[in-house]
Amino acid sequence: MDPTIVLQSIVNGLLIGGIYALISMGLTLIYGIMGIVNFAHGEYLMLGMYSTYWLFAIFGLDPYISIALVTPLLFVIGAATQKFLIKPVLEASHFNQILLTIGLSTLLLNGALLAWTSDYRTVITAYATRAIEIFNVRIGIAHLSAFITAMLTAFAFYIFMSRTDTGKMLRAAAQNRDAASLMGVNVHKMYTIAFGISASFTGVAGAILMPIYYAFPAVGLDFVLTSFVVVVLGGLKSFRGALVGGLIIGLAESLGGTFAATEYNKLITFIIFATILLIRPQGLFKKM
Amino acid sequence: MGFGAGSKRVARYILLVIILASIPSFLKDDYLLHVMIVTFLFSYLAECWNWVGGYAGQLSLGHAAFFGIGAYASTLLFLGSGLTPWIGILIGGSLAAAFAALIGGLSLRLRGPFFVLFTIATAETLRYSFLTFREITKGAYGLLIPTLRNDPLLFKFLSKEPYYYIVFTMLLISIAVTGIIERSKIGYFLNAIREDQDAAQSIGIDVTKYKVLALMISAFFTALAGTFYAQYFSYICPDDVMTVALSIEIITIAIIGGAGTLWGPVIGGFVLVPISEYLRITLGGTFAGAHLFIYGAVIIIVIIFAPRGLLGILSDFGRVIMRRSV
Amino acid sequence: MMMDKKALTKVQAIAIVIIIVIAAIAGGVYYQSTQKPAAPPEEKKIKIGLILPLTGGLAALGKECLTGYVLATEEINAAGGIKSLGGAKVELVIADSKSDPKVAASECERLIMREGLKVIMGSYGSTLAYTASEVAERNKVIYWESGGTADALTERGFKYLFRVVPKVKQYVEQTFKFLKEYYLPNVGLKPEETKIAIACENTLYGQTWANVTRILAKNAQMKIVLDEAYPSQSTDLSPLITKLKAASPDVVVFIPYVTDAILFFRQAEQLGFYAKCYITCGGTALEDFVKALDDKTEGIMVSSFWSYDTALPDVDKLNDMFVAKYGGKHAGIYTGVSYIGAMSLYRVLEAAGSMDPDKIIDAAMKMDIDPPGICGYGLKFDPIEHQNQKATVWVLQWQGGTLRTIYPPSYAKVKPIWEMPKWK
Repeated sequence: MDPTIVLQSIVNGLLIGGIYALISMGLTLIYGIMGIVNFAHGEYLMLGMYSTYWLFAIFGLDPYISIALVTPLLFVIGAATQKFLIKPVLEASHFNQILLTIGLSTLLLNGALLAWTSDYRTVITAYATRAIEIFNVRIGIAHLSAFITAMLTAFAFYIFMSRTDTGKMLRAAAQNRDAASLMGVNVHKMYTIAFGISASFTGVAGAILMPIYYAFPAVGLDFVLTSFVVVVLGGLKSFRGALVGGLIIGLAESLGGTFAATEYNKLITFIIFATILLIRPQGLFKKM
Repeated sequence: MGFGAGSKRVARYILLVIILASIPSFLKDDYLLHVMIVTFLFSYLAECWNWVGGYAGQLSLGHAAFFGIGAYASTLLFLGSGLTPWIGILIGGSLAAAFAALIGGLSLRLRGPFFVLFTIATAETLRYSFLTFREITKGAYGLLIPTLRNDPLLFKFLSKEPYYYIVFTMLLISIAVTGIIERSKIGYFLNAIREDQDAAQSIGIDVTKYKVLALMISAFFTALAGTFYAQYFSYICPDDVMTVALSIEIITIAIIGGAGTLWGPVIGGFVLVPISEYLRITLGGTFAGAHLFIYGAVIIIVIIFAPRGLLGILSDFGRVIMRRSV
Repeated sequence: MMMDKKALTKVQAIAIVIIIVIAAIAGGVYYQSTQKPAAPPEEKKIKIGLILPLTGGLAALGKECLTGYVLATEEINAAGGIKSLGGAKVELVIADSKSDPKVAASECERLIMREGLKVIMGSYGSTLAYTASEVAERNKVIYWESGGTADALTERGFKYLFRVVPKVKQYVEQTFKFLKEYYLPNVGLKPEETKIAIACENTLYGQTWANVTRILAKNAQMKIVLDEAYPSQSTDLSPLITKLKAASPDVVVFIPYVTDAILFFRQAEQLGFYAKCYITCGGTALEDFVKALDDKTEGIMVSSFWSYDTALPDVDKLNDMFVAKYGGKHAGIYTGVSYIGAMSLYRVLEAAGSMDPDKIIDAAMKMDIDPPGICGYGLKFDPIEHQNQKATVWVLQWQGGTLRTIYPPSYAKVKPIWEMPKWK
């Protein structure tokens, strides 16, 4: 096998894996702090992509500039979701909590279908097809900037969580809700912030995906299933896990697609998923 | 648990059954018969899901897989070797039950969201396989069941009445099974498992056995409906019969009506299906997704304000009425 | 206190539910009452059914088909209707299949049962035609297809079904003929020296192309350097493109839908994959494709079952009629085939002199028109499949942002671009 193909495949996999990692970190954040799996997570990504698209279509804003607008927008949407929809069911059974987020997912997906039709929306940027070439390996500019943005966002979040007061309060609320509350942490406020941040991750992810991919109402589903695989692989409560898991899954899909038939790459992902759930459901990493 | 007391209750049920059974004799409109058939079908599916979701408390989001297995098994056997779907339906059911045993066995240690994710993963893997392995399943193109003449022995009828009676009978059977489960040891154990799986295990209930059993029974009966669907609609494809969206529709009906109750899925079906059929006709292609949008909203509203569903509301209402008359 | 607040809200909830249920039933009844057959006509009319996806995912091209049927019908009526039927004017009874095969079937049933139609046209999509034509066959009603190209449609040997447009196998055979007898000699390549790659989307459509191309390529002793199916909803085609790059083919046979077509060519440029010749079909013919890729489409060849850019007088006339009625610059591909479908049916009706399906079948089997015939199509049905054997396949090429005909040479107004321009 030509080593260039292998190298190219690895590079492709890592680049897309970085984006998977960013999307998955939102899931990890919410589960880690609230113990809830947000099944509507993919729809936030979809909203992020559409927001980027409309900012481009109406105002001509480049997606990377739109990040400044889309991120706070998605933060607000996420925070509102927590405050009005999730809070009432915090004490309810897991069953009902999961059902609620599934209902939300269905609502948002079909709402997008009604509002914007099933047409595919793309953003055309000058750098979308340009690439740099190193050792015969082509690295797309759009993919590279997406990867770098994803990593920067992850790093910024790490700083936020470990150095800022709010970050420390979030971690306290994650470790022990009641103890944190007794120590004066406004737990509900923390939850709202967590949901907001989680959604804003998908806002950034949506913006960086638009030059590479296309938006349609069900686009969230494609990515969210992959995200579930990533967080289960990485460990549902671990950010390191989301990062590493994202890169691994990106690699697996890319290498699998190159060496097996292209058709089977999603099948491979699902099989990995099922296998992990069976062998080591807690994933690779345990802690936050 | 609802209506009257003792034998009065039974008489009321029998009356209801007679009324519903005689509808095709005076209602000749094909379209309304079709709506009733789809209503019965979804109530049946919700009733079957209920055994796993409502009674055993396991949130399965992959039930469409069983439905699809039933539809494809009987259809492929019929198209390939001419085997009558009356036998194919049982084979489909058995295959679904076997698949359920596999999933159930594999997922025993998974709790809460992990179990849900696993059911999604397996259902999607199955759907994806059906799309990819085209040689056998014709993939996205789907399978057409030729309908050139009336063929009762081959489960093919040109008019709607026979289908009406068949699906109505299926619904009655599913209600009966629910009733049996409720009054039996199995029901008691499933309840215990739903309330607290670990506690149930610690008092000696074989949690594994009952969880898998519930899943297998539910899968078997759900698959039967898959064959019915194939024979009635004459056309199946993975994106019609195996999607997560279908699983969500089934769950919505059970939840709206009241999960874990006998009449909940029936009420849910009778309320939601006519509405969604109506929406599909009037808004149809231009507003695709309208009925699912409403389903999503309804789930959210029900979970937050009335988690016990319509049946919960009705029984509370009943209690209030009784209180007033005291 | 009689009732506490909580119970009141729940009473309201029940009331709402009851209202919804009543509304639903009322709506259903209302819908039924609108399903009455039409009033009897005054002047001599014949009614012909038309089932198209006017709403739903396929609506855009379904509506384009409608324009062709309407133009043909207006033209024939203006010229005096069907003369052998006493100058009867054609009235189209239009039904919306809503892009759903089950609705196509039930609409066909409705047209036959409630409207009493004996002749129905359609369908744009093969899956829509599949179910509807079966209903027609069961009821011994003529189903005249000029949109769906899937081979399986006519392979059922239905007596009452006729297809005017080519089936996919004919598409591939005629395109391959273009490749072997016209393209390769002009670029100085022998078949045995040609490296060909086959990359098709993985549904029946793409795979029929792949299967037939594979056989024809082997027979011509070409070197098949890649042969892969891919899922059209892929988020990333770089594995496929990486493999193509390593294989360095001369000719790439690429059959996509539209979003994967866009994704492919974008990623191909990004990954630095270049091929001299692209033979495509499907998504690459659409407006969305050229809108997204602009001048990067230059040189891509597209197989099609019609083109408005054809050097024939009746095609010019159709373009003029279309622009006069609907605006724009020219008729669409689906306008063309629908017009041809309707016109061929009207000619058959003229020859039959009757609306009796069996007589229509006889008249149809006697038809033998050579291309250019009607807007470039010949007409001759084989006795087993009732598939038009003289249907034409065009090969078009994107030049300057528009699709130009390059084959058959007699229909072309421009010369082909023999090699894809290199990336800048």
